[in-house]
Amino acid sequence: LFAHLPRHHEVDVAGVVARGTAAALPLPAIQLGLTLAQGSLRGANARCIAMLDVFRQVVLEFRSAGGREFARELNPLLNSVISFLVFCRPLSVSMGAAIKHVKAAVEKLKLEPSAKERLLGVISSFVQEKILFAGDHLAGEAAKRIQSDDVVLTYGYSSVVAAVLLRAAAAGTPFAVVVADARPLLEGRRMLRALLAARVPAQYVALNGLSFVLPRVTKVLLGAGAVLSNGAVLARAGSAAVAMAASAAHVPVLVAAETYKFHERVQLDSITHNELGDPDLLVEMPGGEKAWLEGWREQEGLGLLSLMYDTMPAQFVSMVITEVGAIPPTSVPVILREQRADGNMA
Amino acid sequence: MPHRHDPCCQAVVLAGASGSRLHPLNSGGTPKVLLPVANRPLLSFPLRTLEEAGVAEVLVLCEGDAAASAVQHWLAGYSGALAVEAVRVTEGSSPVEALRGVRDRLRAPHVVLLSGDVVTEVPLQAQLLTHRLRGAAVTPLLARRRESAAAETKPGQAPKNVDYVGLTADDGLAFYLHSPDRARQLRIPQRVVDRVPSLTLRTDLTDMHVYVFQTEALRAVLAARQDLHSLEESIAWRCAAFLAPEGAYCCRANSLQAYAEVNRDVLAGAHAASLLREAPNAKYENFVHSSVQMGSKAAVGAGCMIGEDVVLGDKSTVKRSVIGPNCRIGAGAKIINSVLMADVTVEDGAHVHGSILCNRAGVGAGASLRDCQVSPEFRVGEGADLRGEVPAGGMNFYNTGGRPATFDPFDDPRGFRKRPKSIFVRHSGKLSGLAVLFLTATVIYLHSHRRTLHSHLAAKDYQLNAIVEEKEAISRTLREKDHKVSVKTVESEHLRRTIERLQEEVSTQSTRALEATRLAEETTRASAAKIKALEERLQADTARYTSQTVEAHMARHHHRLSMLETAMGHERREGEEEPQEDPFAKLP
Repeated sequence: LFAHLPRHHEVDVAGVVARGTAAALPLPAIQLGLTLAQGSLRGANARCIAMLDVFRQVVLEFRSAGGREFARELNPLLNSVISFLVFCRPLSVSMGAAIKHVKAAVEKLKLEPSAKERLLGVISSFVQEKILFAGDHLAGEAAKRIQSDDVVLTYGYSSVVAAVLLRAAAAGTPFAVVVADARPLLEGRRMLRALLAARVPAQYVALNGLSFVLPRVTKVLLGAGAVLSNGAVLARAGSAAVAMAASAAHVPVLVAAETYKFHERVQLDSITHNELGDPDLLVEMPGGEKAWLEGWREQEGLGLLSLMYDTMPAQFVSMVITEVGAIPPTSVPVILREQRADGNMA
Repeated sequence: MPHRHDPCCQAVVLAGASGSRLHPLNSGGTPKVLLPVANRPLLSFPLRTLEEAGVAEVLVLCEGDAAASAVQHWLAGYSGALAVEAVRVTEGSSPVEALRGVRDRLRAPHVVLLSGDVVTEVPLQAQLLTHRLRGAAVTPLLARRRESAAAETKPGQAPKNVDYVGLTADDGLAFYLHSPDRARQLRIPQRVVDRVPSLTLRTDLTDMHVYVFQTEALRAVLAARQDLHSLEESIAWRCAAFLAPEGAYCCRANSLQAYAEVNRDVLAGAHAASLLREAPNAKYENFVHSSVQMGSKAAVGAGCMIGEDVVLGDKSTVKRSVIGPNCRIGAGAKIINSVLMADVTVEDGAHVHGSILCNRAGVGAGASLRDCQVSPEFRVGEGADLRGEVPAGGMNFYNTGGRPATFDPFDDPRGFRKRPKSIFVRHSGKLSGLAVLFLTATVIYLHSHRRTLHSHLAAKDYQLNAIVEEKEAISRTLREKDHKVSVKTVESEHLRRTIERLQEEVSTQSTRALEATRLAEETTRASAAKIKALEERLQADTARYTSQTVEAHMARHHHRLSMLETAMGHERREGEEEPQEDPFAKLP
């Protein structure tokens, strides 16, 4: 069923060297690739910012013959960096959007002499406007929607959701948070730590305990990896279950996403576009319990599936909060159309 | 395949060791790094490793003028993609001083320092990448030992010649100690323990003498500490350890045994492709140069390398050996597990086993060499039988069988002679001492107890005689017993016959008895019949009798009845008021 998705493979220094292109790649790119492959860097915003940082360093160290040849020489280098990052871990939608933006800028700048500085400006403005400022504005908007005595349910860790909740806490609104979490990534613990550091009352529950907490929950706030054209939201595996359970309990589901995460494709299920994670993470049991799946590779007919993302259909999402406002999921194509128009104009 | 030069890396190859442990291979003035391994100089292997890693500049540090000029001479013909330069370093200087000398020429941000005798197929690029990614000050290459250090030591004793390597959880090097002798205790500095949360000490890794340094750090240390230092003392730096991948071949040819092993391992099919850049002959798995003339029935086994213009005589055998160019192997010669350098002559019928023959050496006809190292231009005489020796000496010294070879002590100042010895030879001192002790002990014991021994002997003689007499007595009794046994057998025969007769009688008697019983039965049956007849008659009589008596009774009764009836008729007529009496009650 998932044979169309690229298999997960281990990436380490020896593998990178064996691939043969290690000499041509700048060191920051190799470093980022290894970090991504090991899973120490996760999350749409974090990965995108790190990749753009690598691009910035690549452009800084790039020495070309002349301004005219800039694009022709830079493009192969960028492509090699991108293909290496893809080799380490498939790109996320946010990274794809950033790459598209940067490549369009490179194309436009190829006839100018001071191309390097302008390109660096483009990259940094993308980070500043589309990610950081957007996130900040979004946090302010969404924090207003958290009222007193709200019980907010969230799943896993999302930098945007964390920003929203911390902003609401800083504004003084008394509210409580329930953090749902699931193996193997257990990202909810990171959210819990952040909330407890800000002295927000938080409860930690496993995903299968959702039905116990839902009666007390007033709204659900989720982060997104991408928002698709038909209103479906791509998020960490498990979020769709949270959204479905919440909508069945008539609890509003709010998704916080910047507009750069919007994508034109239409996705109806979690199978067509997804990412396979490390299956060995499923084998390790926390708390020192015995790993029952230990020899799973030798077992015939047994395969471990670890999906990174899942898709929640638009019917489960009440509202998508972006930096341009709160929109219903059916209005996503409008935002996309506007973005396209902006891209054509600029 | 052109490699892109990495401008961030330079290399320094330490080729200065005089190779005193490789005596007598270097006694012909060849520096250690130019000794042939698989018919190419040893130096070409580290150079190839550097070339593949894309290092641009290489400095080869040679000790002394002779070595430097020899290396320069060879480098003139070097056609690789590296910019190699031979630098002369003063003789007798340690590696640190040599480094200090070239310190100013190190410009690149990273410098690779390696020993000139390292033969490895571990990609240096991976080590460089790890070094740069970790931002370490030095990254040594640690390879897994082929056999465990504790394999040759008795249990309970620390092993010799072990590298103690302390690694942190993320493969950083925190502690390193090389101990050639038995280390009874290991002192780990407090700062190491404070700095690292968890430390794993391993003894299965050896330092391969391939290091990647950050030039700044190296220069700072060299400037700061004017005294000698070795790698162990630099643990204040950030060290990342690069572990050689499993199965990658890594070896240093720094002793005679290692040199011979490297020669053989490099030719093995698995490593040949990556180390030699040559594929072996697919059918025979060996490397035979096209200009080799092979005699009839000459056999070259797998894992051999034969250089150019070699003449192999008829019926000669070469197994797992390396034969340099221009050698002459005579007919019927056997060369097994050996290394022959250039221009060596092995005459007919010679056996060379596990030996190393240097340039222009010669082995006479019928000679047999085992585990020897023949120095250059030395000729072993005909029929000589040498085991584990180092025939050495000046030129034109001919040794015929029987005369011992002279040994020049100046050729081997340190007295190193690493020859493989059998277990008995290694422990021969101990064994002979033990034997002598044992013999003297027995002699002393015997001498002090000689009188008692005599008396013991006499007693034993007496006992022996007594035993002999007993033996005779016993044999006599045995004979008598035999006689008795025979008599008894005769009697038993007799008895058996009587038994048979009696049995016959018994059988006749029994038949008679049977007849008698039959007759008796008949008579009893007849008498029983008679008795039955009599009984029947008796019964009939009694029946008749009883019926007669019953009839008589009945008749009497009837009579009485009739009398009574008449009487009653009378009485009724007389008095009808009288109660009726039961007339029958009066009857008996």
